[in-house]
Amino acid sequence: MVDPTPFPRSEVLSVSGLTVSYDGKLALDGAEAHVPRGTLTAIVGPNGAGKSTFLKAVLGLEPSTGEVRAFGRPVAGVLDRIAYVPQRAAVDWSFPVRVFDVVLMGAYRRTGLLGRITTALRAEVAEALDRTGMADLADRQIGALSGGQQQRVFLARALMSRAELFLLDEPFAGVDAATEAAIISVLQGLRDGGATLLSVHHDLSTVSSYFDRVLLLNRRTVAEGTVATTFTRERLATTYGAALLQAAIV
Amino acid sequence: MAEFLALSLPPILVAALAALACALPGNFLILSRRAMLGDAISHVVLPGIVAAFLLTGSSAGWVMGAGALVAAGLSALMIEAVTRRSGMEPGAAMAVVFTTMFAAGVLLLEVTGTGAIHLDVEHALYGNLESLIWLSAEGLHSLVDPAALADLPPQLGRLALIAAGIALALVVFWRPLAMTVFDPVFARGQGIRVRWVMAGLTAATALAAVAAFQAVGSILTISMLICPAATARLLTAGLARQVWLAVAFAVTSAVMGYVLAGYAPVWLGAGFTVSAAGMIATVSGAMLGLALLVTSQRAPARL
Repeated sequence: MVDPTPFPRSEVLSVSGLTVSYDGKLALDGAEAHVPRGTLTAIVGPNGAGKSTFLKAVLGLEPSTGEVRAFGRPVAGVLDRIAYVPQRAAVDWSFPVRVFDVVLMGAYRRTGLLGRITTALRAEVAEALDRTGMADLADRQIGALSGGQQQRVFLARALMSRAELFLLDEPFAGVDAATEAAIISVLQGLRDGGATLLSVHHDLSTVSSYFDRVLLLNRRTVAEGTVATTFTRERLATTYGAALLQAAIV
Repeated sequence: MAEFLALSLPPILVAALAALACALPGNFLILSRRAMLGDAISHVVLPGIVAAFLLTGSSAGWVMGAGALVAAGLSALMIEAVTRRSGMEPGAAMAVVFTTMFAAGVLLLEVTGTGAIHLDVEHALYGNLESLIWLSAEGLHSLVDPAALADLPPQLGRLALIAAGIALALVVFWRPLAMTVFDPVFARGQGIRVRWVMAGLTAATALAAVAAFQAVGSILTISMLICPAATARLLTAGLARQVWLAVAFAVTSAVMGYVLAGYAPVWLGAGFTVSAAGMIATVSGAMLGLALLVTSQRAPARL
């Protein structure tokens, strides 16, 4: 069911036979993905389909079997070229740290243990905050931010890592419309700059306008390809089960 | 002055250094919600010391310290094993491991007799701060007299070294430590060896706890690992500021507690003094209470 790659470009991420089990229950059962460079792919599927697990397993954060290669090499060796933007709930929001410092953490590979925080680096942090619409909130404690603002801090931090592959887990969960527009334009800007992005996405009504590719996942890969060829009613029905689809589409 | 130098200065310095050494890792224990780990390590120090004495027959400081460090490492491994196998929350696993090991240590003390070894349950709880005296102190000039300085209680030099070592490690590993405690998943993506960082934090905690335990006992050790950092946590939203504040609170409560223990009962007309370690712990607890009162007027803070 997987479409042949319509892009003659090099494959940035290739996943085959990716399997994850929790206590004997399969969360992922041989998932596949073949993602060409410079694309923005939505990972779509019902609750419990293993979408977040897929991202974590790709990064090696979950024990898994199967093969994952990024930039043609095992992921563990190229983590510096990959940025992961997790779901919002993943950190302690009462942690005593300012927005600026969180974003600066994205440059750790460049600063190292004791490297100086140069003026240029500070300017880069300011630019990342500006791109995500957070410039005014640099000095806020992160717990004092709204959900959408917290999400954008993570995105700004990912921008600092100068990654070529971005894996985002529901970047639009719980954000307002303005934030959603800001985030998607940053993601599309990254894609246009040559980066490759995969994002777990829940809102089927925006898939076509936001993304150029889609990965339909329900523990295994149901279909993968361009939105035009793959994001079809028939394949969504296979992914969600016909009855659920009605509810999901309204 | 000679009396102050001989009787009060060494215990005040030891208490302050012990408080400092504990308060530094304490900040990160609290932020990573591992406060109980300090509690656990401080308690397993006792069986470690007793076992080291029984095995070697020596009560030299470094033998005891080594025994305590081994016990601390062992208990950290046991806590992880219990957490993994049972699916219990880490706090419960810690409570199980450290109460069992502490109780075993007390039994071991009783069975083997305390006559030969300068250790009993009261010392284990409160340490022997008041016994740290500097007999060679004759006046201010003793502070620059190498012969007199060599006679300072050995705990002082050891604690100074350990406190300095922990402070240095904290400065060098500040970024990976902060990143690991804040967001371990992201830290891993940035190439930080998260498990090693957390093991280093555990080791620093154990080192501080063992060094402090020998001088000030387990109650003050636990108090100093948690109270100053928790107080600072309530009062600021910046990590560096929190650590500085914790250091200030730790040293202040050590000095204030020592002075109060020696003089407060006398001021109140009583003819005795109270345990310095107990008073220091009480003062640092009172500081936390005060901070709670102040901040409860504002937005609720979560520990």
